Amino acid sequence: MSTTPRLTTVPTARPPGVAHDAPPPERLPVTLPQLAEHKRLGEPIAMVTAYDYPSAQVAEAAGVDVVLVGDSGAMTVLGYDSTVPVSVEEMLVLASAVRRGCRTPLLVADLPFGSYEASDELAVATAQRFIKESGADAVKLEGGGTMVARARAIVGAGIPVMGHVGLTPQTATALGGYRAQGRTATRALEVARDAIDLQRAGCFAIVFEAVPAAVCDTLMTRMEIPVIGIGAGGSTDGQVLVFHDLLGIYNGISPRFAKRYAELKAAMVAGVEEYVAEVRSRAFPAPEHTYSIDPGELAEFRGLLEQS
Amino acid sequence: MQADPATLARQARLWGQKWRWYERNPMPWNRARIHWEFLRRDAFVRWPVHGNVLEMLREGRLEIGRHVLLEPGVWLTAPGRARITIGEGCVLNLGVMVAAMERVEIGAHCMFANGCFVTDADHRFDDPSRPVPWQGFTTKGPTRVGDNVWCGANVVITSGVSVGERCVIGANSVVVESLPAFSVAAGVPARVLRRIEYA
Repeated sequence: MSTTPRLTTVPTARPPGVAHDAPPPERLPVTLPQLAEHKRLGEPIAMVTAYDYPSAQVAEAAGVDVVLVGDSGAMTVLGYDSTVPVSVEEMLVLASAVRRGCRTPLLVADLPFGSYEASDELAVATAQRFIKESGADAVKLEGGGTMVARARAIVGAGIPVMGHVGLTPQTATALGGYRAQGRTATRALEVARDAIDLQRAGCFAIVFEAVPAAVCDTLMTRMEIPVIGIGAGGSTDGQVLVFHDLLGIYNGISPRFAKRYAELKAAMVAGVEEYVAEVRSRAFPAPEHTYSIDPGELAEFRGLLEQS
Repeated sequence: MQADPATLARQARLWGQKWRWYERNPMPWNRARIHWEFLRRDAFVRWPVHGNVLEMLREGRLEIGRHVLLEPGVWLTAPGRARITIGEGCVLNLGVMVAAMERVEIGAHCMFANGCFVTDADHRFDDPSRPVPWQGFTTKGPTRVGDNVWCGANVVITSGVSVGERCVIGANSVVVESLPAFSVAAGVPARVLRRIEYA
């Protein structure tokens, strides 16, 4: 039996000798009730998209609350012209990679265009694939109207759903292109109805995209669930930006709301250009980038090579 | 006999460590921080409150609903990554203790009379070579209490137990098995005495 006086070894920041007090945890995984509490306490929720292992690790290290595997990845990492062509399988690859890169943020996966609209059964089946195969915590789907029923069905199947109203890129053609929504009274009312219907359907949070700030501000009094804004002003409960937009990696058309916090693409091009130049001038590789061999072994090797 | 200075210094250091840890809640600044955290949740705590309340609140491991009232002497403890949820409108009367090892959830509008104890943990005692207090804890799973549950004085709810909504549990009962909703239960161990019927 150990007779070590355990109390003396305990650092001051921790309970002295209390056996059940585990070491202080790294950040806890973000839960749905925590997001609701953030809203209640007026603490903004930081959400960002991620599409692969490194971007997920970046989001984790930066202390992001919610990570969205957005179908915007269709454009930013897969190079499609819009978010429409991306398949469920492609999104599953992205979502799985993100899951491997982060444990703390709540992981929400976008259901891609055509994978949930047709029926409740299809919506539930697709949502289940994302939860089971990629390890996502929740799914996001776009639009109100008939999509409210899809959201309700998925919630009914026990999968948390994030709604998305305003500019919904998957149906941008029907909305008249990538433009702000709800800029007339009747259109604003449609956005409001969709948002409230999605809230009633049991969504745990909702994204407002490209909605006038004043409309969003007015709507906030009716929203009991956390509202994440993107181009929806400052009155929302949180903000989301596309990873490649905020870091300046993606060169496509950048919307007004995409603030750039870094210019990584320029840095990446500069880095690769320097590499190319060094290869062509034989400045790379330098001795520190190469492996050595014992001179005796080398002489023997040369001899053996001559004989063969 | 007077202890030598080195021993006395060690003892004083240790005592100081303990004092800083165990008496941290009543420090005026910590007391103010705890009240602030309750204020911004529309809840109220009557002094004293025990346990790592401030740490839990700041780490998002203790959820306190609106209009929760903690009467004096409540003790909430959840080390490490454990979480406690207390739903809106709950009243925890004098000396109630909630101890979580993983997860204790209390629904909305519950009443706990004086001296109740809700936990998801058990002490381990399976190692004969070590003192029992050093053996740590084990759990049979999260403990859940539904909405509108009323526990009489000194009720104990143990690990892995789910109490359904609107149950009433008699004073001094020990709940070791889950209770279906709308039960009136009492005894050691608690047995369902009758079902609550609404006209």
